[in-house]
Amino acid sequence: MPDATTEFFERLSGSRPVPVADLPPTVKGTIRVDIHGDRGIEHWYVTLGKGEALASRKQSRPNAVVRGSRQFFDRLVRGEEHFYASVHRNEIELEGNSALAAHLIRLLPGSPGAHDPRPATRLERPTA
Amino acid sequence: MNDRTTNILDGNVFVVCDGRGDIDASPIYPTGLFSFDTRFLSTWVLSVNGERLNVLSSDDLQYFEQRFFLVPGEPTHYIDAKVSIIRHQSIDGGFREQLTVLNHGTEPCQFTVRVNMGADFADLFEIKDVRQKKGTASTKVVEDKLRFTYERGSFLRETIISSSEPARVDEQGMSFEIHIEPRGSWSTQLQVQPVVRGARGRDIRATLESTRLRAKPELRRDLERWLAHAPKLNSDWEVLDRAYERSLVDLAAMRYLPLADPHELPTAGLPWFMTIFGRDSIFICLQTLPFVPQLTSPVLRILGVLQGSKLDDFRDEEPGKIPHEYRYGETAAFEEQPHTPYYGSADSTPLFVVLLDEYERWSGDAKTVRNLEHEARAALNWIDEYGDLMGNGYIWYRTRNQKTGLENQCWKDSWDSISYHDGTLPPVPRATCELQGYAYDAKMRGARLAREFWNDPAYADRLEREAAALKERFNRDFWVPDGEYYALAIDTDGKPVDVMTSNMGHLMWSGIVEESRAEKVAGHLVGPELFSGWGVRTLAEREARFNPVGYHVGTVWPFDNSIVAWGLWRYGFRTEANLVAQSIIEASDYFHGRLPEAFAGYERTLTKYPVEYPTACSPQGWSAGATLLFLRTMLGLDPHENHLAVDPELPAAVGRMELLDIPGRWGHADAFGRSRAKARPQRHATPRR
Repeated sequence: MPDATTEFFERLSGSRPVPVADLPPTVKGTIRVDIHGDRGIEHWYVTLGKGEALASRKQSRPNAVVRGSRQFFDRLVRGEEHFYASVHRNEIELEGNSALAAHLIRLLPGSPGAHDPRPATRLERPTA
Repeated sequence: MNDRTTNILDGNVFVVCDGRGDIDASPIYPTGLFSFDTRFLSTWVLSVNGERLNVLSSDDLQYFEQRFFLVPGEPTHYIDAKVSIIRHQSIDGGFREQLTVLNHGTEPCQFTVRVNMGADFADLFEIKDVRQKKGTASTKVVEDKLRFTYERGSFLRETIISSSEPARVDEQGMSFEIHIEPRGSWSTQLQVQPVVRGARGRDIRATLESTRLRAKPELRRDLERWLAHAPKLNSDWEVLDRAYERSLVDLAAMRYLPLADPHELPTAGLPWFMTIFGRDSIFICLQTLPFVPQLTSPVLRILGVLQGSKLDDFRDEEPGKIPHEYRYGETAAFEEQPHTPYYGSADSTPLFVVLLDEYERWSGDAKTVRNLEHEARAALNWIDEYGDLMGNGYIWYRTRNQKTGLENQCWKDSWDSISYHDGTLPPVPRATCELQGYAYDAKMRGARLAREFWNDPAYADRLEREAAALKERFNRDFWVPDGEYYALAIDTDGKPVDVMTSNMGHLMWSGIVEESRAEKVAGHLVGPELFSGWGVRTLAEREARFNPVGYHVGTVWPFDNSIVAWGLWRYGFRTEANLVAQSIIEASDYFHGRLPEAFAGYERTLTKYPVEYPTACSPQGWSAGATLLFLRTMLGLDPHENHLAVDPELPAAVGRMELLDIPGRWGHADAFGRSRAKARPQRHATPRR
């Protein structure tokens, strides 16, 4: 049974890039994700472009690097950790183009149990 | 004089100390060396032979350096000091102090010079309410350096202090046993380096392309460049010239490099708000576009990067929402505060679209408008979706973070700012009026962008239809017919929150005010209830919660007044706009040209001078920006396709003025104005675009 991190990146590593809601199409580049575990460092290369993401284990030239432990990434990809707070807590380290690396957040799930602020009883919007 | 605090800064690295250059941390006001919302130095006290020093004079050299001339003992009428000390402090990535001791006597002298040092690593949010730190602090003397370390899990902050001259270093500071010949001097340079450690022990900033630490000569050159590129103002009103110069320097001082972008961003205010705020940054850009347009595109870009993409109750985040506040300190990192980033503002999102359009009108930078199409559409979508909590076509707010979220998510964000005439507070959610104005403007401007740059005329038509419907609805629901003014808000029953406020000026700026009502609204803004003589009050005098020293319930905010003047200008009320502009600029004279965050809303005839709000931030970004926006409204500057329209009408205090080299899509243009007190131009019947 693969861990949450591997599962997360494998879902993005099909033959075609995966569309990502809220990823601006102008964001382009490759982020290398270094996952530090008991068996050494595992690398994933996540390429963003045209509002899509594609992950691969194949080495390519990264514009940014994101580093952290496997235990941490397992929590991150389940939505249990917040990307920016973790950067400031130093649980993940960024290198290179940090604005690009920050877009990884768009691939991650939101916090579990978050509420939509609009009540279910919200009235129909008036039409213009 | 020792009690007065002074400050030097470079972006979000700053030192606040007392009048002799000492730091003796107090819980009331944040003195110390701060960087990225953390206090890296909380004690920095100089003594000579065990005696504290007293200041003879101090120079505020540049925003990043200051100098103190000190003597031991109490200064008396006859100062006959045999020794004096010069302290030259500067910010250059860290904090540097050049300490020089002069022996004025004819005999050689022995002195013990001592600097007590300490670092408490307080988060800016802990200063008013000091709590037991959760991490571990330690102090070490390593190779003649004093190292203060704070560790909480992988969170690591350090202060490293060194001296250029040999010192006796202990865990509380450094001592120097010095011998000075007659008429001789001794000097040492103390360097304090704040370090934000990354995973492998490196400073986090060293591993990112986006950050760098700047040395003093570079800061000096940078300031010269900044001033050289800004338009030159010459007028026959000295007060205005001084306020302009001060504002430009303060805006330069308050730029900082965030961790996620290689371009400098404006910070909001010293000492509490030295970070990026969605609302403040956007307003600063709107105010300063005709003068220092280089501030704007990095702000648009970083706000786009941080735009919300998911639901998060703790951060009040929703897809498409533009962030409110970003913090880098311990409480944010450990999610005791929601600022990574916090999304608790309902105005930043429409204002983002407003700024994008205004930026293009001045700069002609179509590329940025095309690059940010996705972000702008997501923002426009937020207005109708997550912003419209009640589903009735207005922007509402209600925090989902009961513990650390903001109750009021408009610019008047203190807890008591939104009330009925009798002082009671309306239930949440609340829909304040200016939010609807910004939404109207965002739709109108979004329509222009869609038509001209995104090749989507159908979307443009839709936005314009929605804007027209919003304007109609708003003028029906927010108007208080009895007093003939716009209510501050409506409550969940659709009932007006019926206080009279300065927010009406923002409504005029947005264009949502029905033309037939504009004269009434303008009259209220400069009428006795709102206008103090020093400017327009946040809340009218007759309201139950009015308090001339209440943060958002009676004070006068220069920023607010600059938007009021812009609104009056938009509907052609130039005399009223000039009255507001002139009174605030006159007030600046009492603060050496530096407009504070707010001053008291007392009647001008009562106090004769503007009373600064007790804990006002100074410098404050959008107060500095206010001076620039007033110049724009006085000269009637507005971009018209590829040229700059100039339509001056000057306040009574100004006989003539010229503003040279105004940058924009036309290259550079000049504007001249002369007093035409007798020839009043016609008022515009419809708002300008």
